[in-house]
Amino acid sequence: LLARCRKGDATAWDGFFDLHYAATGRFVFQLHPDFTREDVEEICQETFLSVIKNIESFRGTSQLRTWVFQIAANKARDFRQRLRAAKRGGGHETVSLQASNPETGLTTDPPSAAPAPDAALITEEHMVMVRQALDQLGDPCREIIELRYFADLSYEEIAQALHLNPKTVSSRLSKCLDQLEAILRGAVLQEKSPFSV
Amino acid sequence: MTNEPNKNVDELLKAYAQKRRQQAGQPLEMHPATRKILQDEVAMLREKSARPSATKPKLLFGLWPRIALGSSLALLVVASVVLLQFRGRQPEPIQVAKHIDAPAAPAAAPALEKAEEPPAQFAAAPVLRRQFARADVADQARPEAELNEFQNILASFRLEQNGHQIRIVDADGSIYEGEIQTTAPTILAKRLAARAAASVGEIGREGEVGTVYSFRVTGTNRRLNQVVVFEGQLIPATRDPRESPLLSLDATKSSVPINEIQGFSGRIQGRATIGGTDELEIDAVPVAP
Repeated sequence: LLARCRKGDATAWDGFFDLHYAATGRFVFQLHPDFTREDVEEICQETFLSVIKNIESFRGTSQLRTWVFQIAANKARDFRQRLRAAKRGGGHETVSLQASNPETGLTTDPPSAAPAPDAALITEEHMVMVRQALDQLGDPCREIIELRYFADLSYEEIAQALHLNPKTVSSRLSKCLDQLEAILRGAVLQEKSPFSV
Repeated sequence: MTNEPNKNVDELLKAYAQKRRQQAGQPLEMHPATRKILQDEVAMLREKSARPSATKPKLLFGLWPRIALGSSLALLVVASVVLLQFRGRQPEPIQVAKHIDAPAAPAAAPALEKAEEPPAQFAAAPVLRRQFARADVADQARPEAELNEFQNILASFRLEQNGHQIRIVDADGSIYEGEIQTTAPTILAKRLAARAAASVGEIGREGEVGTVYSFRVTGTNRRLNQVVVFEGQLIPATRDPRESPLLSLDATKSSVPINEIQGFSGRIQGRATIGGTDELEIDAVPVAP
């Protein structure tokens, strides 16, 4: 399939998309609790465009899906950075609280951009904390944790993707989880403990 | 990865992942619009990658006139060089052919052979001959046998005349050819003529010498294989114009028979240059053949 894709076989690419798109979407969806399906679709589209452009550079040192996941993780990170940049710039229409409706004479009561109270479950809060803790980790730790827990890759597959020895993956993952726990425990002092989930 | 120290984090991450998967709902399917965008990208890259291989033949096709022109010029240059080299070698076989054809066309023979073989025009016409010998040889002052090769040149020779053309055949067969010119007698020529006349018992007087005929003949001496240039004068012995050997050359006296050279009793005096460097004074008198 890979060889046919490299030759530009449209049918092969269709097969490739069918084989990897759903898994990639699921992986991307886990990368951030705020990602919507639309966000994931956008990220996946960018991911597969990059895969098409760079398929020649794939050396086969890791599983093809792992390689796609790595690209997807990078695209998701870029996407989040764009989202944050949009939020810093507002991202929402400015509404005057003093201005009255010319028909009713009442002032405007705009809806909150925050999640609805019913949806703001405790688990959601914990998930945000987890995500924030992951973001505080360095790239190597975040990557290895994402590949392990969100992409469901084995140590061997992670080792291939990151060009590491499987034992190194194990020890590095252990250290990264230690760091993540430390970050989360620090958050306990300020927020509700996520470990009560 | 359920190391005890990381058990809580591990479980938390697994719960997180499970929760997000549940939130994702149905497996994501690629939207047709997305698929089209991706397939368009595939097609574009396929064309781009196929372009270089298609470009080479197109490039060659586009450049074929230049390639053809360049090849033609190169071929022309090579052909010219070969032709010039071939022509450079041609004279040798042609010269051989001339040697072969020499009897049939002696006029085309080289200069060396020209001296040995009389020109066709000269040979065809009636040739008037007169034998001469150098005075020192003729009066036995220096026996011919004692002369070396250098001194032997023009020791005795035969003078042949045909119109303006003159030929001197040396004793060894060497032939020197040239033309005769009429000139006014020089003082020296007059004195020489007077002295010559005195030597034969006539009373010669300066100023009574007739027209002097000078000549210049060239050829290759067979013995020395060197070019000989002989410049001399035919000096009549008396003032009698009938004794002028070459009266027919004088336009005013064209009625005089040309064969009067037979009765020429004057002298031939001059200088022969051998090999361009050595000179030999010639003072020859008519002798019996």
